[in-house]
Amino acid sequence: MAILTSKFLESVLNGAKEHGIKAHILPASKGLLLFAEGIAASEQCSLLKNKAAELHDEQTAPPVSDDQTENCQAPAGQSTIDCQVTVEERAQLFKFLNG
Amino acid sequence: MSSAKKTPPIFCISSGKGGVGKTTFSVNLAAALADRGAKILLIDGDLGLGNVDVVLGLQVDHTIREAVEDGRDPASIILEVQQNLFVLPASSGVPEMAGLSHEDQHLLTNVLDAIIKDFDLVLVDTAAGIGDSVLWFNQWAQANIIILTPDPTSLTDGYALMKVLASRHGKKGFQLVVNNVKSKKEAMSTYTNMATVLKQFLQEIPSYLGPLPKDSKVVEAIRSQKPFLLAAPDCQAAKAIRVIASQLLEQEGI
Repeated sequence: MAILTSKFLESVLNGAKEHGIKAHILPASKGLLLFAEGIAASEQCSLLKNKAAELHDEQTAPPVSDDQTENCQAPAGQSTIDCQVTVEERAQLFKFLNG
Repeated sequence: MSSAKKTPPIFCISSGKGGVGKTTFSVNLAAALADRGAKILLIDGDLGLGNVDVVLGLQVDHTIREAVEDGRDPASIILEVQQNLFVLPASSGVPEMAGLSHEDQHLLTNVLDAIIKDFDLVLVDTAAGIGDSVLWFNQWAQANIIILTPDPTSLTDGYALMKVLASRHGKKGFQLVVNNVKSKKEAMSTYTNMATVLKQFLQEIPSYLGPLPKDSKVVEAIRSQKPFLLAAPDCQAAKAIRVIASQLLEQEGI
């Protein structure tokens, strides 16, 4: 598990702000969890990992490990399965309405 | 019929879309089941904008909110509406309840588990949408009734709700009611189409509870704050709801 420095988190928050993303740092039982509204947990982990790797290249912070990315899941009882109704599903639903 | 001290069947009534007749259906189904001798608890699951009490013309002094937030004895909140029919009312204008935090879900489980064993069957009239409370009640219940109308918005929202419940929460065996139809043929066509889409995309085959016809007596009953089953017991909608009630009782062996 990687330890995220305050400098690293500040950099992520600034980056999120520049992109118009409202982000908060929430205390968690282990380390810290970055939460950005409107972005799925898995995507946030991916973004976090990429950002860490980028900063690591600049020798400002260690990267987030692969293990941490894989273990990043939604809170218990929730799932991140995308349930958006697709165009195909909608077309089938409306089929009989049009005779 | 006697009350068994075991967990009774719990039916959650949802729709996705609002305004499709969920609360009217729930109230009248509860009344029809109670008429058949089953002791029914109707829970107003629209925790932030409850309407069951409004449809029934009840005077509500206490709500589920007080049981969850203040630890009030839930038995003191339940209202007896008629013989065998009891209502657990919800608050109105309390968005915090609609959100249903994890802590509230835990407290609500304790509150409901403490009271439902006194009943033969429990119905939950949920809020519209796919918010936390809707999903929670649908997970808590063993059976899920989805109300549809033959409108594109209702079909889309009802399907979206079932997709979330099936994909994220592993729910199966949805039971469909088609409300506000001009004919049985229209209702059957709506059900068949939905069943086809559910089978094709979610590998799920729902069952058909039946149609509820468009009926002016339903609107009149809502305005007089009475179940149409009592206000117009011979209307087409009342006959249809009795058929659905009989079907559910037979299904549950009550």
